[in-house]
Amino acid sequence: MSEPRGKDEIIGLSLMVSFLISFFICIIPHLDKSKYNYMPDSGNDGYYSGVSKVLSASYECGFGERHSLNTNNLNVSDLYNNQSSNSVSDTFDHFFLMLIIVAFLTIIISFIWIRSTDENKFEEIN
Amino acid sequence: MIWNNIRNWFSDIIERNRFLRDWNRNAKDSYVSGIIPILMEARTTIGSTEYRHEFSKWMAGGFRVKVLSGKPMSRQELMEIGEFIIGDDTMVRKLVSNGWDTLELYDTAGTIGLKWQLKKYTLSLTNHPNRP
Repeated sequence: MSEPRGKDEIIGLSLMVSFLISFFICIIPHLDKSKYNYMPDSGNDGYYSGVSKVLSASYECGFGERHSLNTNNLNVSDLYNNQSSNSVSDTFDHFFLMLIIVAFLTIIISFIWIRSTDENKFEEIN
Repeated sequence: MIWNNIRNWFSDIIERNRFLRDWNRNAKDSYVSGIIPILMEARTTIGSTEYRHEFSKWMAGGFRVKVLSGKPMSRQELMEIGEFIIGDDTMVRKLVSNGWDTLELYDTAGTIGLKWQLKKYTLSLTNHPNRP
């Protein structure tokens, strides 16, 4: 028969699956485009347009944490056009949360997988 | 106290690995020299929780033997190989004392896997032939 997966193989695969799941869990709350705050460079008159520089910008993710964005050479229209990619690339700093989710999921998945894989494949001889 | 426990734990692991390595080398040598017609290789697995005994190693109680014969083996053939292993009382005692509790046997070509509870096959106080 095909060999049941070994413990190390199951844990490795569980780790990969857990990493993927946790990545999506962490990335989805960062895709909401409505929670940006920014401070444009409005000059002395108090007005700004799409080409105005952005002095600072922040984003509140679905976890309720406020992340500051990198605003180097960024103007207001750039910010609007690239909100989604900005939110993911510049503000994704939930690695500790990801680690916790990965560890938790790996333990759960490995435990269930190990139990279901090994015990059903061999016929008992009494 | 803690140091002794750690040292014992490591020496147990070394002993188990040495036993496994020797077993695999003997099986391989026997196959190469033509003493037995099948190639066997053993490794440690989780084993069966219901087969555990007092000296079982946690999550490492299975002694799984992979059998290569060149054709799918019948249940009877696997049974014979298993009984040959189980029949060696010294080896069963070594397996049990090193923390294994389940003997698992399967061949790579067929669809059958068999397992034995090692504790049942040791000559203990209840079934020893010299018992008065």
